[in-house]
Amino acid sequence: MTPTSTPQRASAPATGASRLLGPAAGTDVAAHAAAFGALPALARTKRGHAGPLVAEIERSGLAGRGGGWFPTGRKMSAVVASSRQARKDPAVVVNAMEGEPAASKDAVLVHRNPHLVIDGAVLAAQSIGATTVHLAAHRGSRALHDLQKAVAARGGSDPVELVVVDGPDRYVASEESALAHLVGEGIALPVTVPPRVFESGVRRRPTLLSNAETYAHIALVARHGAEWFRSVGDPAVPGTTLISVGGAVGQPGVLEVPTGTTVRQILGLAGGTTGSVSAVVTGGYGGAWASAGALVDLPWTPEGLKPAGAVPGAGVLVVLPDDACGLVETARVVRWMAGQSAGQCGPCRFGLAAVSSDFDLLASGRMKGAELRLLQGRLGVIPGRGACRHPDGAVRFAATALEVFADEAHRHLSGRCSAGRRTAILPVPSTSTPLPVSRPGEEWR
Amino acid sequence: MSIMWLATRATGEISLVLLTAVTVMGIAVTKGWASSRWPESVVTLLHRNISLLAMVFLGVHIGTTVIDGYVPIGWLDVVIPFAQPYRTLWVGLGTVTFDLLLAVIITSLLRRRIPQSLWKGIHWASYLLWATAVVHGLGSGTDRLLTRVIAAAMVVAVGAAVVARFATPHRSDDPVVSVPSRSEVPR
Amino acid sequence: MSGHVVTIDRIKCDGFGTCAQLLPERITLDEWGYPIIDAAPVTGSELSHAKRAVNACPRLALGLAKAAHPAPAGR
Repeated sequence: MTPTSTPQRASAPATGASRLLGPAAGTDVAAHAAAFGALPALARTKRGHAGPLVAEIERSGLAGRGGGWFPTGRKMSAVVASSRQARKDPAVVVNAMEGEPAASKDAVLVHRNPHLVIDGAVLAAQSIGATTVHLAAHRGSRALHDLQKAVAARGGSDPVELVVVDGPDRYVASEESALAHLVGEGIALPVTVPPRVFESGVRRRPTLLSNAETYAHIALVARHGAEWFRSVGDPAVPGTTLISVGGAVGQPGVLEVPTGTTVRQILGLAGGTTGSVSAVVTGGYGGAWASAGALVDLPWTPEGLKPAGAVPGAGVLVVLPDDACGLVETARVVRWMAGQSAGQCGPCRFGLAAVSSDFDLLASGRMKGAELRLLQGRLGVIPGRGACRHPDGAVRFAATALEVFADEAHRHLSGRCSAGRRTAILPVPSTSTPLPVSRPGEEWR
Repeated sequence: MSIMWLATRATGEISLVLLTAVTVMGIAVTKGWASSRWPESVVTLLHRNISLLAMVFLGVHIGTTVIDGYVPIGWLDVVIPFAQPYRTLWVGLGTVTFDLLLAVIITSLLRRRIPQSLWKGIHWASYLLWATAVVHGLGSGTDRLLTRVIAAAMVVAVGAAVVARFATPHRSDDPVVSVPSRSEVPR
Repeated sequence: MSGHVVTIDRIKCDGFGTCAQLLPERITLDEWGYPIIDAAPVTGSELSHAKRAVNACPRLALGLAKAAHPAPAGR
């Protein structure tokens, strides 16, 4: 398949991993049916009972592509079980919010084949006894526009109701509990868990909330079966996966590869690295830095990347050229992540702000050794003490930066920096809302 | 003058002082006003315990009023206000105070079992019940000067606390570190 | 072992610090005034103090849950 000319380029590698991004039907219903086949007809199950698709998804080994990599079949079964126990109809939410600034896979997928995502959500809803599918994307995003067009094109022909929900352009709005709260109550603030969303989500109903890409895979498993799905990729987490590759590569964009493809192969498909590189961002800004040397021959799976301390996360791989300063880049990201705190929990709200100030000191070469130790102490004390995992992710990003750029940190402590580059590599949105933003005001709707 | 009547007046004034202390302490709890001598845990527990103590003195104040037959206040008038002829409005406000305090204390004891919004809504009535207590004392008391002096002191105490409550920023609104809003590459 | 663990609702918590004053064996405060809770189950003699700490929280952010087996709950 030839690459499109949009900045987010989708390509079908020679390995034949072109399941999601090979065809490009767009919002046209007929083109979608021609490319993928008709929507399988499923009977809607009674509340509390799982349709046969649930078992098929479990057999397929499909795992969530939003960053959790949790087995989707098991999640669907859990929703069904909660629905039976609570005697409540479940809800289905499609997460196309894509809060990670370095990620664009969901936007590309929803642009190329929105009906695949919607098909998957409709099929999932039918097999768990839900009557409504909520599709969520950021206000003003192209993904929202694509979803609205696609839903309109379907003309109400689906056996379940389709509702498109727009959310505020904030990082934590794509967090599971925040998104469920947005859909049900109109405010995208994380809530305390337990109960988790599969037990109590949209208006306290058991909710299946998964990433847009995950639903697209569900739509394909429903058409081709679990064996077909497992025929490609890593046996533990089979199938294909979308990755947003960026930074110092020849052709940045969104790729589809079988799970287990090595980082070296992925970078090759993205046009290879431009110049010498030594550090890579994996997973996103809530993910982890890794050294290129440790990472490059590892397979792209949650387990496979662990030896380098890396994570696939929301399918993000950004390569840092050697002439950029990883600490400066990290300082910019951490400052933005601190500003994205919901401000509901002290350790996140104050902790990330303090870590951000520390990183500014370190990046600008004004930090002393004792202050670095203080920073490391703070990084140790913040994780696990917020209602959601936002502070954990930001801390992991910062802590892995200190490991990967340990030598550079030493230089910075003496006021020196080895980087020559002046322009930024990691994309950080320019709208940074200063703290505090803790009351549910208009910015959270 | 009967001992009951003396007890009624004395315990009435004491209850008012205790209720004032409780109200001020309630504001102290929510604002996080504390020191090493008066840590937050002490302020919180004192706030709760003194409210129970106030209830005890209020109970004696009410009991002695009813038992002393001098004024026609019966047991029903303890919970139903404005139903008896002696200084109807002023004494009735005392009943209102008692009713509200009962609601506040019962909802607080059951705090874990009722919705937070219900507890909070009723707790706001604390300010109202303190005010009705002051007015009740001024209107029903027979010790003109002493009652007025005490009432004035109580109003000053709660007034100052209320002003301080709303004039200073709420504790969790103070960011310890503010995040700079410009995201440029720092050099 | 009493088999109880201290649980916390991080959103309700407003950093009053009452808990750390009443159960210092298990709860310390970070530099911003928010509790760091030892996840291990509360021992028998500490249980009454834990109950007082849980009840004293002005925001009712703390709870005491039975631990079937020592699972990390606090922090």
